[in-house]
Amino acid sequence: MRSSKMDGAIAKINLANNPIILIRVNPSVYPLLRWKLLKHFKNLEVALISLNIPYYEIFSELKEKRVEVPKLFIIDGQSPGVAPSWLPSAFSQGLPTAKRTTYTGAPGSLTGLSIMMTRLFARTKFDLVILDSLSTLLIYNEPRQTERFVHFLIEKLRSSSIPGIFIALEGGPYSTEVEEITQFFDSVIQIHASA
Amino acid sequence: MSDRGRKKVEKLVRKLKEPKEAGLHERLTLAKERAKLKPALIRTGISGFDKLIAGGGIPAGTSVLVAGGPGTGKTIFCLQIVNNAAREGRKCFYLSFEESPERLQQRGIQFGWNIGDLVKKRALTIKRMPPMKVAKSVEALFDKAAGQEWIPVTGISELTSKGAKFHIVVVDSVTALESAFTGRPENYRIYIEQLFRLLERVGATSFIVTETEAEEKYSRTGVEEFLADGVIALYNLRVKHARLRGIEIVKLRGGEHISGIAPMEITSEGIEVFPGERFFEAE
Repeated sequence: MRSSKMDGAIAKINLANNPIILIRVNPSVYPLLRWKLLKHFKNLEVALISLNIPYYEIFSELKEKRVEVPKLFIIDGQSPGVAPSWLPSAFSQGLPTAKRTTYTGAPGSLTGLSIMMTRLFARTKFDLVILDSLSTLLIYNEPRQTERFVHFLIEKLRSSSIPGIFIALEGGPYSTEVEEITQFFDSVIQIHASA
Repeated sequence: MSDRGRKKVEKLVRKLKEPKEAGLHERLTLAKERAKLKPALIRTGISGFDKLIAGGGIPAGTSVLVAGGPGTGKTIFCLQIVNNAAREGRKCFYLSFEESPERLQQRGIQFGWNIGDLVKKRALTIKRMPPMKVAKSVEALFDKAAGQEWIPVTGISELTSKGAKFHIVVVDSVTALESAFTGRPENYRIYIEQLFRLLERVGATSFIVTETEAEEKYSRTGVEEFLADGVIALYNLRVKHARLRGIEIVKLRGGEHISGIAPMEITSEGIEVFPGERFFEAE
């Protein structure tokens, strides 16, 4: 019952009419949103920029929910998988190398993330890019830098004709900053706690 | 630019100033003649770098200073240019005051460049000269030619020998050479001036490496950046706890270019420049 409103909101997303979307989600239902979005767009070539959760957790979560995402590409800003292989496994945590996954370093590396996107767009024609999340970007970067980065990324998406969904948490310490960024989006969807 | 070509353009410009004479034929001829006068461009082949320059390359025959602090990628930048050029059949000469030919070949292997093969095929000549030896022989020449402000550039006869026609010359680095001229900085300045003149005579596009300590200063003595036609600066900027690589064309005579620092990465295939990207952390 809780998730039916969220399903409805996701089903209403029209990427053709509103290609750049911001979803403001209540923290209590935020964990549901990621896999529901991935499930809804499972037939599309999706690039998920995950700044909160490492790729292996996303894959295991999707496996648990029995959601098959053969076309999903994860840009992982969380895993310590960037640690060189010669470091002791305590550093790299012995992570298996995953197909369709790449690493960006830390969420604080906006230039690195932007370069990564340019490289990926040149190589693959994505149908959708999901950024999870704006709130994490704001934890690691100054609001003005984040604003410039989001604007730049949106322009890059628009010029490449790739739709984008940006996720931000509702409320919390960065709600004012998120509010200021909403002007860049074609549509803003609110998903409340009662969703 | 030939005198004949220049005179032809001047004549056409004069003719076009007279309304009666200004026909379409003259205008087209003028455009063609002007295009002929533009220098040929040397593509570096470094991903993204050539896009920083109008036309997509460095004007042939110019001397370019490659400046930057330690670890910014100056040698990789030059090695990548000679690797790309030599593979395309252009003869290259790499004068090293620091690293041995073997060490430079090893560096190339790291990026998948077969420098050794290019040397074998004589597409690339690498010569190492110990800076102390050069400094001593130069100072001896100065002592001999007391009072004169001219000395021959010794030790690199390959560049001027009969039949030698190098398209690209790298000098890596003049900073190592400068350190060897202890106590006699004026001798170094005169030597550098002669070296630039020699490179100009040879007609090759040359890349002269300098190691810098501070931003906005592209050589130790300042004479190199004054003599060079172009200055390319490489950076390894510290932003909080991270470092960001960047590249900038500070000046380039005869070549329009994008100003500002462009983000750059050193990948397993060499240097990659991203002209359309920005430094968000440094803004």
